[in-house]
Amino acid sequence: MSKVPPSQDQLSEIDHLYRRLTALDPGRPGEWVRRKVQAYAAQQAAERAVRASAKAKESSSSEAPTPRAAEIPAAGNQTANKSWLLPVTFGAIAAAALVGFLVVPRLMASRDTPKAVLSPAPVSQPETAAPQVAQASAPRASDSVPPAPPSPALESSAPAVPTSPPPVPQSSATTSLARTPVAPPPSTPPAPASVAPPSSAPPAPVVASRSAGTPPAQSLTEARVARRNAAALHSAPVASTRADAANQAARPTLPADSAPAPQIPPVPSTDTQVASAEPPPGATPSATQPAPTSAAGASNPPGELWIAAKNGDMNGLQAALASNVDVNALSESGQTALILAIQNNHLEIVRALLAHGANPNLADSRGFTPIRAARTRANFAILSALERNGRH
Amino acid sequence: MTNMEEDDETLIGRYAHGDAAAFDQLYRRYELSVWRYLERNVGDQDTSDDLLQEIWFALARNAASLESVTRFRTRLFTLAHDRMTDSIRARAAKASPAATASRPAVAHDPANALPRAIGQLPREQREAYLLQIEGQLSLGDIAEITESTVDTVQSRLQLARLKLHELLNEKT
Repeated sequence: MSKVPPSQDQLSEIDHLYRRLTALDPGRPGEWVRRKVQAYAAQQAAERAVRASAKAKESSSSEAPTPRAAEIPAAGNQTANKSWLLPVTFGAIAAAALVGFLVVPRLMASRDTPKAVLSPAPVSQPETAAPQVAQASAPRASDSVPPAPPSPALESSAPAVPTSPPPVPQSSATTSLARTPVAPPPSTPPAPASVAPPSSAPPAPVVASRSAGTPPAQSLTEARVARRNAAALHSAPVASTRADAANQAARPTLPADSAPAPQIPPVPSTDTQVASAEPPPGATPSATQPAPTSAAGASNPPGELWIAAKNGDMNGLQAALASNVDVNALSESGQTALILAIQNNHLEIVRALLAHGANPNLADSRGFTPIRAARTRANFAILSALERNGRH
Repeated sequence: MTNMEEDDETLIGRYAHGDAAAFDQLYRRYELSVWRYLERNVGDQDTSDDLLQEIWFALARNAASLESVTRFRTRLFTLAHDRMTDSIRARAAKASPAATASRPAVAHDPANALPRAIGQLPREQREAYLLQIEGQLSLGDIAEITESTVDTVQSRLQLARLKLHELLNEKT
């Protein structure tokens, strides 16, 4: 069957046909996507506002940050606030209960068996007789749990303490007993700082999938979730959600996203030097590099450079750059310092590397370019920095 | 884009300064086109939904870095392309991403004819065509996104239209 090639008009008709048929297509994104995106966007906006106000406070008051000011960036959103308060509340309650449990039996024991302990105990010095006990029980409890209301047992036993000092033979035991349970409360106040770091939190909740996501989305898509769960039994039984599975599966293509960090040896082998001398095809140095560090003159192994680039350590990076290293050298995992910095979203490190002659077009051993690494992470600030430094 | 609407860059700038409504407006503006681009490349509505969510989450997270972006639309479809490519690679072991995978095969249904025809295009041609028709991007933008040249993109678009013309004339 002979076919006459369609004219240009006929081909442009394809676009009209496409639009016409697309209008008939009932396919639409799920409503849950819009809800989740809106909710996430609002949350991110709120977090940014909190961070901005905290920065404004810090800059305006330019004094040592008060504890409250230090809490603001860590607080982030309401969820983080709740997670910050809960451990403190429970810690205080638990501490009060422990103090009650420890003090009451000791006081009762001292009342029940005073004769057994009277002889070895130096009664003449009630305040200094058992300093460890006093240090371990009463002051510690009061220090660590200031807001906690004293238990009835404590109140009732408070006047009895001076008249009947605690028995010394039991003091060591009670001390050790008292110290171990009372120890946790002091550790609870710093917990919020480490528990809720939403400002610097990586996107753990970001790719929350629909099925593993928030309850509102589940209620809307019960049928779809059920259908997907049924399908997941056949296709991906290990992955908790489709999005997670997709992400995890996609990660091997993106070296920085893979869970284990690329092993960067402190001292690179000679292979890396050879690799650095041979840039991949198509990766030509930019003509607009501001201050190129000559790779030919670089002789020091750039292990510290890779580590600093990966960890965002500006001081380490400056030290490494000052030691005349090859800024474009490939690590044993096949990545340049620039790509390592991009993969870990260290914008300032990227800028510093580019300023020192890092090649923005140099691909890693897998063929991934810095631009690709930045694009995949939607880091447009890094993209702009690469563009300004002549990536093509 | 009409003059009455705020442009994309203004909206993302507003969102970067805390205006969540601006982001919502931006999302509604591109929701369908991005989703269609994904769905017709991936061939699966659920995967497209997940990818769409990931893309907009990433945009919301990095809104501050978007303030300096001059072509938001290009950035958006670049991100969509990259995420979709990763997703397709991850599923490479499975069947080819035919666009009819999740669609019931209803004969003589014009609504199905188009996705089926799109699904039969080679991947590069399909991506280029959808970036142009759904993203309304220039040849240069498409070349940048697909990491190819303008001539290559032009050639792919021509071939895609030829193939679509052939397929759609057969089916409609």
